[in-house]
Amino acid sequence: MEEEYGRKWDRCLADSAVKIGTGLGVGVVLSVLFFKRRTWPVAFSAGMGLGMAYSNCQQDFRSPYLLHGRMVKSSPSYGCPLLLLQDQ
Amino acid sequence: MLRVCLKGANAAARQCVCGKVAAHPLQHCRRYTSAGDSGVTAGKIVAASLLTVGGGLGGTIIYAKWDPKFRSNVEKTVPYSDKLFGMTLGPPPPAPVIPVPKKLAKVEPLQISSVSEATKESKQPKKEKKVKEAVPQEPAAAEEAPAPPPAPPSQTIEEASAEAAHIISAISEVPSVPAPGTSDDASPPSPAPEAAPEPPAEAAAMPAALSSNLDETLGSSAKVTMAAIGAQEAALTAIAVHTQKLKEAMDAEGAPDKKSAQWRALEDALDGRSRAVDEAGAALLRARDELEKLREVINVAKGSNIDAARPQVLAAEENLHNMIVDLDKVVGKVQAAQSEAKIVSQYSDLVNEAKAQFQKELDSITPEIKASWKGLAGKLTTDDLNSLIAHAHRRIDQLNRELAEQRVREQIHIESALEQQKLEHQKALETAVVTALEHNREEMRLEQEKKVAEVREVMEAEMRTQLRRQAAAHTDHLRDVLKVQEQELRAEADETLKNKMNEQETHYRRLTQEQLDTFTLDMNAAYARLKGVEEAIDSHVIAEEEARKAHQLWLSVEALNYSLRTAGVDAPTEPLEAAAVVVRESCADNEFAQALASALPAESLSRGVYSEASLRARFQDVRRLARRVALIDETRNSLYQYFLSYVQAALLMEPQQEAPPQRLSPADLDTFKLLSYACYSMERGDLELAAKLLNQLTGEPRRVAQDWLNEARLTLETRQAISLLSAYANAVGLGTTQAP
Repeated sequence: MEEEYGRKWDRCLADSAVKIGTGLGVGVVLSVLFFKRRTWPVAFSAGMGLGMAYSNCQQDFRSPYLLHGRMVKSSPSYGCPLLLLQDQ
Repeated sequence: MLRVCLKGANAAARQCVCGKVAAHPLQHCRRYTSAGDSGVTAGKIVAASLLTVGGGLGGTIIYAKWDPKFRSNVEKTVPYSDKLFGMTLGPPPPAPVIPVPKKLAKVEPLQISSVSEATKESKQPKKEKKVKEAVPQEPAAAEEAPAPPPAPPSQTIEEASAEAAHIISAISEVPSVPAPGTSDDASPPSPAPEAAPEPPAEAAAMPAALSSNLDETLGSSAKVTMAAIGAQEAALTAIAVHTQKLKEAMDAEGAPDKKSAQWRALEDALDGRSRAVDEAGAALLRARDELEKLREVINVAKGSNIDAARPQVLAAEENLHNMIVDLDKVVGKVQAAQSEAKIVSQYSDLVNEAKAQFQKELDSITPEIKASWKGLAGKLTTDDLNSLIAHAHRRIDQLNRELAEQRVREQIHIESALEQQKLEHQKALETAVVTALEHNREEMRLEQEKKVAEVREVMEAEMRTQLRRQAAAHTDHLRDVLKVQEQELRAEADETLKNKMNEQETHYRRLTQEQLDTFTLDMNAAYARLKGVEEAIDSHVIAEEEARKAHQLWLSVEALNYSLRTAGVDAPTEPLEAAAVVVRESCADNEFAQALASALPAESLSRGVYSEASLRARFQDVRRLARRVALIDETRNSLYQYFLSYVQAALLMEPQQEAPPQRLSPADLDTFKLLSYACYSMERGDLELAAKLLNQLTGEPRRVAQDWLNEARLTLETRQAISLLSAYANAVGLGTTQAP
């Protein structure tokens, strides 16, 4: 379990690095290509990358607690749809 | 004082002793002397009495030995004396038997014409000596002939008479009349002097031997008789020839040659006749001997009284009679011939005499003329002739005178001759009559004997039939009686047999039953023992089996236990599968153990469990991580929270180890507290408590600690199972161990 945590963090970092890098790259490219070498695409994409990485990381860390549910139409007598919760 | 007393005592004792010693010898002597005196007299008396008794006994015994009457008397009067006598003298002598005088059968002298008669006429004067010699021999022979053969010893008489008695009794089943020989078997034999005890002696011969003897003698006598008859007839013919020749020689006036031939023939005939007559005489002697023998044998046979030989005896007698008759006839013929020859020889003698006389006269008258006057022709002178004629005339006159005288005397002579002849005729007649009478008598006797024999046979047959009837009746009666007896005896015997058999059977049954019982008992005992032994062995086996199994279980559990220790620092133990399998095998029949063995968690079996040390080591990591994620749970699980929890973990200080309370309060359910409690218990080796505590974690720390918890749980479970198994194995082992 402990390794999982580390692994997660490793993954997260790697992913964030990748995303940020990629974002930077894309930003650079975009900025170079489309945005006349402004820095704001770089930052934007880097930020996007970071955000994505952050979200991913969070998702990864949250994954055990996420609940997956589905809607089941119940009988109309009660009127309220039930929400079946399914644990992961 | 004491010494004095002692001395005194000693002295007193000595005195007493001496006194006693002194007192006793006298008495002893007295007693000895008195005893000696009485002993001598008693001994004398005893010796004397013994001597008397012994002498009396000895004398009695010796006298009894000498006098049997006395012995018998004593035996009669004194009881048990017969045993004594028997011991000392032997058995009593047998009673003397009076000898029965034997019957002497008279042997009749042979009724034949005496042999001397037959021989004396047949011989010439020069042969009379021989006859005379023969004659004295003959009577001796005649005397000897009937002389008995030596009497056989008495044993043969006894035996033979016993056998004869047996034969007789065999023929007739009536108790036999003992043969004359059997009556005197006890007496010692007294050999009869002259005429013989042969009838009883030869009566002892077996009928077969007798008949064969008879036949033999018959045959030989027949042969000899025939020979004698032949010889007699030959003699007859020889005599006839001789007579004829003599007559011819006398009468014929043939030529001198023929005369001499005739005379020679006559001499030959004479020789032949004499020889024939001699032969005839010898043959006759022999025949007479044989006939004598035959007669003896017949007498013997007759005397034996054996019926079976009777017809043979009769036949033999008849043959004998016939032979005697023939012999007599032939002898008569020979005698007649001889008398004729005598006449002729007398005549010839007379003629010869006359011739001789004439010759002598002639010689006296004419001495110079030789005897043979056949060759006289021409040699005689007239004187001679005249003298011769004168002599002849004279002779003729003389002869005429003699003739006249003779004629005169003829009558007288004839009468005398007739008388003589009559006498002789009478004699001959008498002898003939006598012989004929004898023959007739003999024939009649034979006939009578034949008739007697026939009648006897008939009688015998009838008697035999009667006896047979009687015997048959007797046998029937005997048979009946025997049958009855047999039945009785059989019944008796059957009964006894049945009884015995029953007895034997019951006895046997009892014995067999006893045997069976004992055997059954033994068998049961043995079986019971065997069963006991078997059960003991089985129980032993079972116990040992149990022990073995327990041991095995224990071993396997130990192996399992040991395999727990193979956990490396960070590596789990080897898979416990093998050991668990072994354990399961070793406790195949034990449900408890099986349950326990199967209670081992699968992970431990497949992968093995971690040791406590590794868990402890790992706990630190878990603690650190759990501290870091202490704030994360289901609701707060963003990265920010993570950051916050990191900060909290960095800033919060709690004691490394804290002793957990007995009861957890809700305030103690804080992660950090729990962790410190768990650490404390981990450090103390209480994995269980640590696991319990860590189980109270919530949220992310729980997730973090989950693996560890699982591992811990596995380890705990395994250890618990194994410890239970071990305890069980120990208990079982303890249970199966037998006190020595």
